[in-house]
Amino acid sequence: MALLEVRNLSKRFGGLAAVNDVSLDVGQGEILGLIGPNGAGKTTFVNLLTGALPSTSGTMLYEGRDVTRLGPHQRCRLGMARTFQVPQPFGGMTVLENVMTAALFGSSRTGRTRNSAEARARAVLDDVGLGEAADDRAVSLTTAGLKRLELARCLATEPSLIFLDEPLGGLNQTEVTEALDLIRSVRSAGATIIFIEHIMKAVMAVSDRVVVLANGAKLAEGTPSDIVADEQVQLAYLGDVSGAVDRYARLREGRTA
Amino acid sequence: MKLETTASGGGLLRWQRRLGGGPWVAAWAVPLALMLFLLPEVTGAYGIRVAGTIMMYIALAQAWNLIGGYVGLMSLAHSAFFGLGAIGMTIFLINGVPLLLAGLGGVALAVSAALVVGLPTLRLQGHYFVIATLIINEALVNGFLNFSAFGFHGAISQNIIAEVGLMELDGAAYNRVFFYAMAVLAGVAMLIVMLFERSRWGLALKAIRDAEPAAAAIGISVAGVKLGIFVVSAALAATAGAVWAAWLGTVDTTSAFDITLTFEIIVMVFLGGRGTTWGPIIGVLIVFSLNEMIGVEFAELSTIISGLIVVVVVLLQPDGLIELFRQGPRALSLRVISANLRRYQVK
Amino acid sequence: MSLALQIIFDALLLGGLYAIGALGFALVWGVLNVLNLTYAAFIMMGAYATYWLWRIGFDPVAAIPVVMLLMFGVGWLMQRGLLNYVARGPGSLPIALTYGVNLVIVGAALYYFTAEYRSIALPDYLRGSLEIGGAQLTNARVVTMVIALTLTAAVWWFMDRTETGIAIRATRMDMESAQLVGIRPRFIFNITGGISAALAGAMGALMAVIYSVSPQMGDHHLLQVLIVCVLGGLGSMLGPLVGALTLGLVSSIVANLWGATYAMLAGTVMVLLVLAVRPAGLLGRQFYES
Repeated sequence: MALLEVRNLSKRFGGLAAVNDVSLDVGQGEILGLIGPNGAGKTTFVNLLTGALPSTSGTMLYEGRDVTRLGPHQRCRLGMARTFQVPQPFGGMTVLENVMTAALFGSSRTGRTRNSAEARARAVLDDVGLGEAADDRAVSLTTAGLKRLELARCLATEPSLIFLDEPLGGLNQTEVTEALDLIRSVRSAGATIIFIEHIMKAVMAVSDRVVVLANGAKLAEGTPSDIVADEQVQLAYLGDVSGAVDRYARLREGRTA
Repeated sequence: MKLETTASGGGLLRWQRRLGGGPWVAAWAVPLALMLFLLPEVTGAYGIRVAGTIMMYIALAQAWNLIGGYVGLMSLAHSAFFGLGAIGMTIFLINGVPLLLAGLGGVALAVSAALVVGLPTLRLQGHYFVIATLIINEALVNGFLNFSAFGFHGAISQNIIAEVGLMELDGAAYNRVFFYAMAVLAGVAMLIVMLFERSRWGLALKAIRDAEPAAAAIGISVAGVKLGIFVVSAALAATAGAVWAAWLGTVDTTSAFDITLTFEIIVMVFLGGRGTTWGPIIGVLIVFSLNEMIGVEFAELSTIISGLIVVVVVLLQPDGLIELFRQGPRALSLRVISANLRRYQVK
Repeated sequence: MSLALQIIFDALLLGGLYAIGALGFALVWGVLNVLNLTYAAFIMMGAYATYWLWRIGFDPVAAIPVVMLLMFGVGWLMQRGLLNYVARGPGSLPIALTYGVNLVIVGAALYYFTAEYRSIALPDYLRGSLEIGGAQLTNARVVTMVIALTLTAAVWWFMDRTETGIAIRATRMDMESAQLVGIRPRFIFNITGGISAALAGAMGALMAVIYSVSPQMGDHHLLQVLIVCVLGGLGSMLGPLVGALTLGLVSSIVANLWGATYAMLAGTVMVLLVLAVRPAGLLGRQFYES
């Protein structure tokens, strides 16, 4: 049985279908790469899967249980966790408090006392390499640091399924390599990962399987090497360039999403 | 805020640590309580009425601070809760319910109103909560002005001195009882704020205020926490309304549901520092001092001045005057002020 | 029969007035995601401006464009000088700021104009009345309705056909992309603030023609405008119109059957019901904020 089963999932904003009839299975312990050109609906799709947005139609089963109508906090407590493309630190807190809060509320396993949450948070911070920064204010972190904080907060909830929304955006080459190592180590600790990325090369390097979204629909699915060879996928990515112009034109008419 | 890292002790010690991070909390809390207890001995009737009113405003400002400051939700319904506390208690009183139970009845009405407003709106994005809280007050004024049942007539002023039943007390003792009641209420409000700050719910509140989607994503039931705080906040405001009505001895609909009250406490909280433990108290004290200086005979002038205060504070000192205590005089330096002004500016 | 007609006329009148007000209010809400409580003062200022223009010899109807122009300037200045400084802050800041400005303006009006109600003595052509099916319809109300509909249509045209209008809508939907194609948000915000205030001014002016003028009139009308915005939803230009007509109809039915004090209660109950059942408004178009 797949860990996550998505059936015919759709999301419409007004007349526009941001996600259109997508079905997907994610197996236990795999890293699934989710790629697609800008505006393909990747982030919307993740928002649907994590419950941040209600879906218009379709169903989602997690560990065989229907989670379609559950809110994000309920899904988190079941073991689904995510990071955000644009880091969303709790700016008024320290790095440690950020992660502790996640351990206190997100995990059903760690007892919900401050002490166990703090121990858990410190352990996670060490894992992602932020141990030194534990007492710094979260807003003082660099982009790479914020991305790590996102991951730490997500890990502190003790998830089985992790959605990483463009974890490499804004990172330099060295940081990308480090981040990829981190992602591999998270997987070897037993988590299943859905890895959303715009940078194709990075996805290919770590994913077991890749799904391509374009215009809100599933365009292709397969092993990284299948996907690289797929002509349609190449077209979709090339189309991305003309997409910006198209977007401009639509904007002029005021009909953009 | 530094978090506790040591194992929790039991009993009094634990409470003390939660209140101030150390036993020194007794160093200010006990003398303060003693001073408040003795205050009626040294002030006259006018002084004790003002002091009691200040206590009431501290309770109200802290009630609003919970939802408006810590969660960042602009509730405009606090005059509605205050009024429901007052009118609800009155209705129960004149039907023979004893004072304390009647007060609780008023609070229960306010809590139900908070649920009616909060349940549909707190799960929505955007400004719907603000709008619903704004119009609930108007709806209740209109509703109660037309309400005439259970011996209660909303269109007229209702005398409840006999029902409150403290007629054997002379004027000074009567005022003293209610001053103490308001002081206890203010203390309870302070205590709730402090406990929230130091509990895991305090972290949840900060998380929601700083980054709501992220708070939800790490397992915080955002709508649930908001609703819970809103209800606590409403209950505090309603209690203040009930005590106020009992103290005054007469209740009428328009002054019980006066939306000016909501805005007064918002001004106080913004002025002192929203989302802080002591900010609202600073705000209450400053506004009262200003009122004493300007006087009530210049109503328009004091309206204009409180408007100007809000504008200046929001633009130049959005974290409130508590920054003066945190940063010292530097908080008023041109550099800090101009940085504040540009902080939320559209680029 | 005549009662039913009277109710419908009242509804159309109220609806027309609220529609203009709600259009302006929803504009700032939609584009800046700000609840502008100074809108109450803008309505009042529009009404007083009309009153004073009439006092110096203007025809009250001819004064309306002048008032709108003045209020456009006021709105632009308010946006540029104040609101733009808090627009990116947490939602409670703009609300507090606009409330403070409202207090200052209303307080100043109370100080200079006193709380006294003032009315415009209507010129002859607005005085007569039509009788349709037994219901009385004064000329002033007919003219008001015509102006309200014209303005609604004009705003519609502006937002749908002019480049500025489209830029405003683009900013509202996706500010970042709008910036990418060269739209300057600050400029758009200022224009939006100006148009919004001009519409508030128009609403106030029409209020001045058919009702009376007082410093605190705007506060009450703002509540109605808020109700209309929630009822209609913010998803489209049609929303405020639908919301306004719904509120107008319900208000005038309730007012005619049970009395005016219950009308507000009815509006509130409707809002809470709509929020509970259909939060995107009666039209059900999702606004791009969730």
